Amino acid sequence: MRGLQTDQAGPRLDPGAGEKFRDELQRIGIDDSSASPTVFYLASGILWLLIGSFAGAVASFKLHLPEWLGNEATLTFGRLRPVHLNTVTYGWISLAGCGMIVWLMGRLCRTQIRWAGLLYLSALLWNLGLLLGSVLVLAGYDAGMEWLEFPLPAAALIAAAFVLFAVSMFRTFVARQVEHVYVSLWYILASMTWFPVLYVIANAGLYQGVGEAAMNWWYGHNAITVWFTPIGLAGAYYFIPKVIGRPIYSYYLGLLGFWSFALFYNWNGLHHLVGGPLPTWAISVSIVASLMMFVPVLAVAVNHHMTALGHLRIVSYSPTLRFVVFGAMSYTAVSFQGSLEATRTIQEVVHFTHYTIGHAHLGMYAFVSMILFGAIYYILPRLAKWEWPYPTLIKMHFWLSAVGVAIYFLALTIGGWVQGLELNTPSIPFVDVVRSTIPYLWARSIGGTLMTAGHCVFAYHCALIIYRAGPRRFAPAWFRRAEEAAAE
Amino acid sequence: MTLLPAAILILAVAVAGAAFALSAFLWALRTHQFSVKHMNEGAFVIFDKTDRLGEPTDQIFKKPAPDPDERTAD
Amino acid sequence: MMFIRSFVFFVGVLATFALGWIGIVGLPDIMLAKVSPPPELQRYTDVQLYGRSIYIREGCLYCHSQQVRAEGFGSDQARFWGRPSVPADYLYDKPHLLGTMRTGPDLFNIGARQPSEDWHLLHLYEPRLVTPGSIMPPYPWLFRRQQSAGPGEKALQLPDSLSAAGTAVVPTKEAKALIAYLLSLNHTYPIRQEAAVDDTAKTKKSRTAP
Repeated sequence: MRGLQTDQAGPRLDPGAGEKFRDELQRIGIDDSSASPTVFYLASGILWLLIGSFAGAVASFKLHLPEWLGNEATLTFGRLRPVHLNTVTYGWISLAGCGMIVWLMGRLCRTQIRWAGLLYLSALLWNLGLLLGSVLVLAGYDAGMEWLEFPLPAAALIAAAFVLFAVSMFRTFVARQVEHVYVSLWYILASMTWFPVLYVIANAGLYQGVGEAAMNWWYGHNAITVWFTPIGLAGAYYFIPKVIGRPIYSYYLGLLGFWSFALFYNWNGLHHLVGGPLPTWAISVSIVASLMMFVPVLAVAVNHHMTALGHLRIVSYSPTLRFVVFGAMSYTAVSFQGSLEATRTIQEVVHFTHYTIGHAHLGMYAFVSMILFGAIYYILPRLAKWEWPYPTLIKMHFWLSAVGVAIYFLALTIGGWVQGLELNTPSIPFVDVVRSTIPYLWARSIGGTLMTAGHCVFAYHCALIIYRAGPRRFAPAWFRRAEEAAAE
Repeated sequence: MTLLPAAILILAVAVAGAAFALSAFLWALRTHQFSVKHMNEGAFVIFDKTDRLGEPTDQIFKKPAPDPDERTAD
Repeated sequence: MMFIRSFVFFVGVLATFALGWIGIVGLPDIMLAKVSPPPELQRYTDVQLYGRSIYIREGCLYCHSQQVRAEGFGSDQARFWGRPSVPADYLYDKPHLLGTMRTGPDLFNIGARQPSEDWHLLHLYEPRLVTPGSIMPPYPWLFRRQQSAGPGEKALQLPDSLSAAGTAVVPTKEAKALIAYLLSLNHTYPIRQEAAVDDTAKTKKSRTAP
């Protein structure tokens, strides 16, 4: 019965003990039912994180060292870059996101996962689709649109995988034992409803010309709207209050935040085409919708901030909270930046520059990925029933990722801004503009290398805990002792 | 489809959508979806009976209580 | 109660999604359907289409754009990249290649700006031969090293550092097709009033008179 004494010192004589014991048993049973599919998804996600990070790092160096591996067609920048983008988004973030969602679904519905067989099939198909897509792009079969480079067979596998995942999740949700549907679940249920429709329309090849460009960027931004951002927000809304031990500050703000998010974010897509050959009114509508995003973003920011107020010292010792709070703050930052970036004034300078890529990584990495890291640090010990063996590795991972993305973001934001100003100065020859970006591209490569190193540390540590290797520890894997933090 | 029928269509859809949203909002008010009790209960869903409010839950193994009457972990 | 709540949620969720699609994809597409092709815009030939597929395969899209902004918004005009592009220019493009990065220059009118096939062949083989300081990758796999140029083939004029004695570097048909596509990128023809749709110029709209 040792495994049951994880949170309790054994049955006590006080009256609430029996109920707590049953609760404990039920929670362990639910975690056990979600354990295998969750770990399958998380491990797959971490594998693609490694592949995608290396592809990105190599691509980054090649941009300012074009002769490096310059004779290899399969490694040319134009093929590595889409492989990086597709594997980190549809691979790492999506698969790790699915793993987090499966575990959350069990916890928030207080019921066992249903139709888990579909989840295994889903993860398998998803991995196959990613592998097929990556190999095809490297071999020269790019489908031609950004965020949609995987040829149809690979995209079909991923779409099928997603539907299987959603079916199991909806079936579990329908069997829930709680009356209240928590905020995180709104984002999750919405994303599972939205994403298949979005992905199928985008890959159906219905358009041509500039109409297709509009569809392309409606898709590109909506993938962030309906899938990647909800993953991050679902995680933040659960882990911040859960780890702190206090409920979310205002459910009202949560409601307002969700519906204004759904209403406005879907219209943002054309801010990727400012100045382009499309009707002015359509682009203006997207810019206005981008500015309206201040409403849901502020709602989320206030909610999380007020929940954490007075308890932020926990960030000094809890890895989960530190990663998730870093992510949640990055969400506020990237959204404010994005709302302003969408205006014509800013777009005139930064459109077509490296600035956009910096923004993209603030969102996909500093926001979503950091929250996923925090979620994994919470979930895996509970599934493995094994504590993280080397807390130092968590510290290493955090600093490599945090410093790495900070360098990355600063390099491309400043470099992109300079690039934009110079591009708009016609007396500066184009090749001189390119020259002035080189130091910033070097800095980005360094930042990206640090991030990649952090992922190697993280992947190793996750392998250890999944296999219950390394020293067996019972003390929590914190950055420092809670008492030290409390004493300050 | 030319512009005028398309504009009428989108206007009709927008009006229908706004009408639905308004009626959903009024329904929510009428059925007390926004009651303080409902809101608070929703926020507490993430906690189990074993979680003590105000205490961080980031560790999986809690130290056993030093009470000699308790059965400790084997 | 549960059913009604679920109904409200899912209808709301699908409606917000559909409204967004209608607003920024559906409706613009309906408006764009009435754009007719300019008479000077040719459909791509088979060779040019083949070259276009090479452009996509090598990911040229990730560094080059194919859209020219209006006067008063950026310096596209001052850099002689062509007149502002309009929807009619893209009618035969599938997939579109508008692009979102200018690590390299805009290519919408590269056929007019740089009509020399020899320049393009050298540039593709080793960009720094013709543009020192460029960070464009080289594409040697689009070329072949052989003993000498065959009949109808023309070897590249390489500097001594890159050419080995007794060999010639000749373009494959992939390289020639790609360059045929690049040279077809010429949208300097004027735009008629009815073929244009409002652009997003901050100041005056600039349409070339027929």
